[in-house]
Amino acid sequence: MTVARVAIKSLLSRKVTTVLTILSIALSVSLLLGIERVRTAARSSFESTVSGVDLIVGARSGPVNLLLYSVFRIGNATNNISFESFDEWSRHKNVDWTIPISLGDSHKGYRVVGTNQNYFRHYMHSGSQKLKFSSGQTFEQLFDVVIGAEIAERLKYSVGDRIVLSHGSESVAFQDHYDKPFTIVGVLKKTGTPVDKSLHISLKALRALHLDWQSGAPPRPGEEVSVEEIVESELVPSDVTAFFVKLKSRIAVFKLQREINNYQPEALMAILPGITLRDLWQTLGTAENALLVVSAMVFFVSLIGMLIALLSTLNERRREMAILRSVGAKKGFIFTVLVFETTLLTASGIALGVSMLYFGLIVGKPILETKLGLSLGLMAPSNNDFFYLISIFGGGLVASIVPAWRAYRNSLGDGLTIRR
Amino acid sequence: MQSILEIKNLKFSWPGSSAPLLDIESLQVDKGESVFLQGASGSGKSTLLNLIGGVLVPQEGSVEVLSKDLVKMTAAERDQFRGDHMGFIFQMFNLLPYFSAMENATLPCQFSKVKKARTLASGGSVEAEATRLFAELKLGPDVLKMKNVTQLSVGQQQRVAAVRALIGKPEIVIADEPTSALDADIRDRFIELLFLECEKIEASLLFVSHDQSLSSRFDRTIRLSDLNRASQAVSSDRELGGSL
Ligand SMILES: Nc1ncnc2c1ncn2[C@@H]1O[C@H](COP(=O)(O)OP(=O)(O)OP(=O)(O)O)[C@@H](O)[C@H]1O
Ligand SMILES: [Mg+2]
Repeated sequence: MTVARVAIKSLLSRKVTTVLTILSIALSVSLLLGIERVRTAARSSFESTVSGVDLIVGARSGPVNLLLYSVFRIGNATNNISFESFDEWSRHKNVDWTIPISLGDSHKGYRVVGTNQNYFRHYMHSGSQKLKFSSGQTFEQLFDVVIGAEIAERLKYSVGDRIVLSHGSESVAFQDHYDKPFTIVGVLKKTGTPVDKSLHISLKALRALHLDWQSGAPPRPGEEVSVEEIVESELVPSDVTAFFVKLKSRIAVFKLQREINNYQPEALMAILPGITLRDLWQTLGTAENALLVVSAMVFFVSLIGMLIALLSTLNERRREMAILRSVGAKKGFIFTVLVFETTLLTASGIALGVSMLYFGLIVGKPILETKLGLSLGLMAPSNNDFFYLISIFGGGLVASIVPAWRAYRNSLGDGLTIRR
Repeated sequence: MQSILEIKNLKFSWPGSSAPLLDIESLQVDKGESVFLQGASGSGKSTLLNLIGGVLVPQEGSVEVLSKDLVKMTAAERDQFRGDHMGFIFQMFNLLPYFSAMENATLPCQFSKVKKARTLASGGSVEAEATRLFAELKLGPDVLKMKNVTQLSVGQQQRVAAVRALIGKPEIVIADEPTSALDADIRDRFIELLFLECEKIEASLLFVSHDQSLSSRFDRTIRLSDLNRASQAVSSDRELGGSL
């Protein structure tokens, strides 16, 4: 008589409890691994929001603040920096290229970024992905705009559409630039970064929008400058909000950072994006850990559920054990049957849970990619996953000791006769 | 006459109780003998059977089955010995609900090589031997095929249990009130068949019941209260409880 045969037959005779127990383990396994997937994907997509940039330079404030407005386009700069400073640093001997970022305008809640062609040539995200156009191309005419994938999708814009930008950002946009409409000339491919939510125009166009503005105030009646009256040569930007710097050699990065921080004509600050991104994620890490705690608790509860399911059947099973002992089954046999049952339950739960996870990934992948810009690869379980699976399995084994031990004790006390 | 069971100076008390439940100077059963063990409820009949089966161990004395002292064996050896040389029938709940009648009946051959070898030696397979026993106990092929043994009548279940106790020709068959759940008619037929089969395999039959009327068919009747020196001291309340 094999342990497996008794255990399997006995489990099958309690189909409902068995199926429910397996299901609850499976659910917690897929939840735990799923959360883990999303967590690592979120982290890596976050940390690669901008890559290939050695320094980000802005007016002196907090590093996180600078990162937030220059990369994530969240919040505003307290100060802009002069175009002369930007120009001077762009021509520094160690600098390979720079990308200016000029914020301030918006369109239906999406931020407008004033920049130059370097943005499309050099900006990188998610490792070494360059920006790609899903349709159209970069801006050439003054009132051309290139929009991110999310804007095109949400607002149903395509190349050739004409749109009007607003002064101010997000909720505080108060004045539309009705007199100077833009033509969409390009739509970028999805990146899963804030680029998807940005509209890109040239620095000159940004200047043209505000030619007739006086220190942040809309033009007084009679002082407006119409599109026809604009003179190209006058379109020299006065300032930028921040700029990205790529060095010819990374070795010089700390030296240049120090030089920029000590720049006399203006108070500038240079940050290393990778380090600041990581710092920022650490701050957000509490939420991340909370997720992990929740899934650990889910798993714990399902183990308790399994324990309850096993213990509650144990009383019925005293007869079973007495019968087995009367035909010569040793005490160890009883113990092993119980442990085997739990092992089988946990193993089936894990197998089902992992299949459910991959099924969910296949079904959910496109949704997560388009809605959240999270790319969850269908990769094999990671070492981390295996660690979780092994702990779950171990947890199941440890939990199985309780009912097994009780069955063993019962079979000693009961002997061969059950008085019920 | 060869003796199958020999108990000497046995003293047993359940853990936690000060007074011994059983105190037996000597009990001896011969090969092929049928013994009716009679006693009130709670007098310790089942406890004695557990001692003979080697599930319990006495604090004092010896329990020799086939000239081997169970007390001196390890727990695992006792389990093995029980599987090899004894067959059990209980009052109720004899069968594993998730096994078929055939699987239940052949269970001992799975745990005991000795029983399996003996069964095979009598010709054919374990299943063939079980089928033969089923037929002798008037269980038809419909019962054999029955997937769910809980659907069998109590009388049928007891006969499946009897097949299981008899398969592999154990030297001693121990029955703990196997007929209490049966009505008089079925009970008599069951005992008839049990006797017949035990005679065929020359097994001793140790039959426990509080039903005095069955005793006449047995070679010998033993009253536990006569045998057990401990019962004199505590018998009064036990007898009272038993009559309820
Ligand atoms: N597992 C146990 N633990 C402690 N005491 C027990 C245990 N089993 C039985 N007893 C006690 O031992 C005594 C004898 O019980 P036993 O079951 O042997 O009686 P019995 O003669 O078989 O009774 P019945 O005819 O009702 O089956 C009882 O007083 C009972 O309380
Ligand atoms: Mg009893």
